[in-house]
Amino acid sequence: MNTLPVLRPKEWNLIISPPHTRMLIAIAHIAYHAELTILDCGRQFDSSVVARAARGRHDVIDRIKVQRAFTCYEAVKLIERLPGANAPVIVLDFLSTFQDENVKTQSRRYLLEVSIRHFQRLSHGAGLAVSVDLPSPSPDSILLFERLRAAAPNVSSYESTPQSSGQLRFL
Amino acid sequence: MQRKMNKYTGWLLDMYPHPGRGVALWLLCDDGKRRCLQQEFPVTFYAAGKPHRLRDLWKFLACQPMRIDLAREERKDLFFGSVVVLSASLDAPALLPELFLKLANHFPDLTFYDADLHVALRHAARHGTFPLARCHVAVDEQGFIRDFDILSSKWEFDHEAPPLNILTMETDVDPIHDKPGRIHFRSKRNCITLDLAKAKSNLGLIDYLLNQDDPDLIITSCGDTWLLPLLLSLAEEQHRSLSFNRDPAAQIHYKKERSYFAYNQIIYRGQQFHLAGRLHLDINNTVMYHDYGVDGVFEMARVTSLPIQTAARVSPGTGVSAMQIVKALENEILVPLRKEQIERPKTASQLFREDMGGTVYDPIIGLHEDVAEVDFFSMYPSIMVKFNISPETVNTRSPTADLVADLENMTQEKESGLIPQTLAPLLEKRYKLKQQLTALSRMDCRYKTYKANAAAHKWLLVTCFGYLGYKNARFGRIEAHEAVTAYGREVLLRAKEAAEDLGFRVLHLYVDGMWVKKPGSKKPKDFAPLIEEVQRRTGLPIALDGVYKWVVFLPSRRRKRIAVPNRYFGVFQDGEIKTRGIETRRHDTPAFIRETQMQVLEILAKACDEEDAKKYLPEIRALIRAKQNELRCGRVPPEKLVVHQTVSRTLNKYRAPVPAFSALQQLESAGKTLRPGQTIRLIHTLGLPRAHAWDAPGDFDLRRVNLPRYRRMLDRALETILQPFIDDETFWLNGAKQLAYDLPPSSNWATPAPSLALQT
Repeated sequence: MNTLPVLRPKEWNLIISPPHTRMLIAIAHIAYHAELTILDCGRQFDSSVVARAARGRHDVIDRIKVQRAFTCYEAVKLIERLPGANAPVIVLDFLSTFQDENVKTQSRRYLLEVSIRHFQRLSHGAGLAVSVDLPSPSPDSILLFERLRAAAPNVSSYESTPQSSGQLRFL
Repeated sequence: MQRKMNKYTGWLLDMYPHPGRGVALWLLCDDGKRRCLQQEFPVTFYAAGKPHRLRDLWKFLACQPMRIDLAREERKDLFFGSVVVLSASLDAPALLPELFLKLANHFPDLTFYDADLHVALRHAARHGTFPLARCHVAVDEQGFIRDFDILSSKWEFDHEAPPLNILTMETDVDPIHDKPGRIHFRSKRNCITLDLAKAKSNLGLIDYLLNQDDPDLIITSCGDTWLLPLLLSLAEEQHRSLSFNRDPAAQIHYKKERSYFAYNQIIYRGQQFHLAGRLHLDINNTVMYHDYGVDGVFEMARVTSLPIQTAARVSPGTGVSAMQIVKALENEILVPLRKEQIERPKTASQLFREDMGGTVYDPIIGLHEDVAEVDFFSMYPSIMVKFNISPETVNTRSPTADLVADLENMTQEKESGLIPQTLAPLLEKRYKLKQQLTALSRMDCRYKTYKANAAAHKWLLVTCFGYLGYKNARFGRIEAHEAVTAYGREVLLRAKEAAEDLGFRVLHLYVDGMWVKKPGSKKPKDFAPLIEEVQRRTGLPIALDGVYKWVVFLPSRRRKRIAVPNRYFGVFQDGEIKTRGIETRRHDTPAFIRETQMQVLEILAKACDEEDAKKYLPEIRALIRAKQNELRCGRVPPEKLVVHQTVSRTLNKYRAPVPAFSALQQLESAGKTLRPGQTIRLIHTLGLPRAHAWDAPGDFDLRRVNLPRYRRMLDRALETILQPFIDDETFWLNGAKQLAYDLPPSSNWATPAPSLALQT
């Protein structure tokens, strides 16, 4: 992920990676060449980072269309309403909103299945990348993560940055 | 033949779904009797979706054992206008939650409306009821209400107080800390202490007390989390019942404990025991109890229409949501289960411009004399009401950015949006209450109640802005949230311009407040022209919070040249001390340090200005020396060294052995598990583990207290408030810091005094 996330036309890709600014920098790089739609499900899209990566070029920044989802229902609704357009789509931190314990497990599973159907639809367009973080230890999170991984035709994993040594000094 | 009717007047105490049909209402009647009445109260929910799925739902509902009236209707959705829905009405509201659970599982693709609403909110919308409302009812011979009149309004602020029978139940020791030995019962008639070791044999006496006192309100300490569960389990073991419920046919309503993430923090809610026909308040499980007490809980229940036991235990956000639901039901607007609106697409640069908070101008560091603090009255709610900002009104006319520049309304229509309609009466009530409070003497018997009510209103109004953008708000919309902050920024900038045009120097701006000074302006009347001018330019109410004799805006600890917003302390002309962002305001500051800092501030408060303050430095120095010695010699009671921290995660998720981790581990090994969001109490200790859990069993060896750490904390707290008054070279704290590392004389620590033993 040093340069660009995997974005190939006519297929969708699952990117397993902790949230990182490199992803945002890569988004700015794509926007130099094409319009781009971002669905931000984990409050990952920091427009100031993107603006810096685009060196303040308004034409580049304005090629990026952003919508944020704050619940898994909103995430699914955004995905449902996305037309299978020519612009590539990047879904950031997709499973973040599915960690919500206020939503029943059964509902979350149902919403994930709906999303996967729409990912398949969207994959016929200019390309779709869905990023997720590694799941938390709860069985529900692991189940949803595994289901998404199994449904993805291409999976790319990126390791997290090493823990800061400051944490270990106390041990 | 005309039926014989009984007529009663009284206060509405409690309401819940009747297990059979309709609702049960408890009335505290004027004749002193408590009556349980029943009322027919069919409830309706709606479903929208694809026609074939609605047909499936129709068939499913038609097969249910209870009677459900089904119909095809057109109803109003706040955002989409008229929608075709399937309506389903039940005579028994008690059956709806279970039925809806089934429906949510079988029909996840349908959109349900009005399905999960509390029966009290439906009743409030239909009959105008609210907890403790004065009512007049006509009741038939079977006890069914046939006529219902509400005699008071929730928006009045002098409510006739109901003559409640109150029973308090508390343990001698905090159960989290140690095993309690006794329970104290206090009511108007009785004051009894029972031995908990003999609780089993005393169950009969407890039941007798409940029946004899017949309390309307039971106030407990840890009743939800410890006392009621204990007594009820003992009663179950003995196969006997305890009359906690006034209604013998109803069950005690139990809610599980839970931790959840909201507003960037983990929040914990303990398990709950709601009684039927009586009210149970656990002061340790009542939100904001220490801020507004029972009076505030009652006011919260009144304005939100939530039952008292619920209003006491939910966040102000849930209260705001309840108010919105009642208003929507009154307007015949469908209430969705959750927010249905998604954010409209924005370019990255639009997001950058729009996704902003309030205006902050960093303060001018240092001590300033004769400074006025002017605050907008409930700024964000006032903006919502004045400019008609509501989820359904944003983006209906012009882009928000165009409207904000001219301070124009969101809609040209006269009709207010749902949110302004909900907030307007609350804002008005708070405004009147604040005016009354300024005129009222503190000795007036109404003062305490008014103050509590105002605090309840404040929390509701503070939350209502955040709730517009909150993910779980039913009527939220992020664009409405952004519009409010956009207006807020414009309004504050106009206020700043007005101040500067009148020759004031603006020292600090913080979202809805402004700190200004002008040579020669010292009295409140000197600032009246500014208040008028700001009101004229913004159209929003603004008030003078007070004029400071002096106020200190503090710099960053690390970089002394960088100002920190909202970190200051000062003394008003009436002697009142105001602090923000310093140790006295932090909940993780030990009491000893908080108190010492406050004592120094109280001495400083006697000074009229910076020069005068120097006169008090010897007194301050003597106090600090005394406090340092107290700490060094082990004379500080250990409970004053206890640090309160919020548990942010479960034990296995900690990555480093921070003090909270060590303390949690100790509690865990003692069988006391704390959940995220709960508060852990600890004392910093020398060596490993680096903390002692205050609530761990056994005595604590006082020689283990990490004195150097506490000394550093004390020095830091004192430095915060004294730095502005003392030159660095003469700052005696600098030279005295070495003392912190001296070990205390061992004789002082060998045998701790009995008063220092582990107690609460």
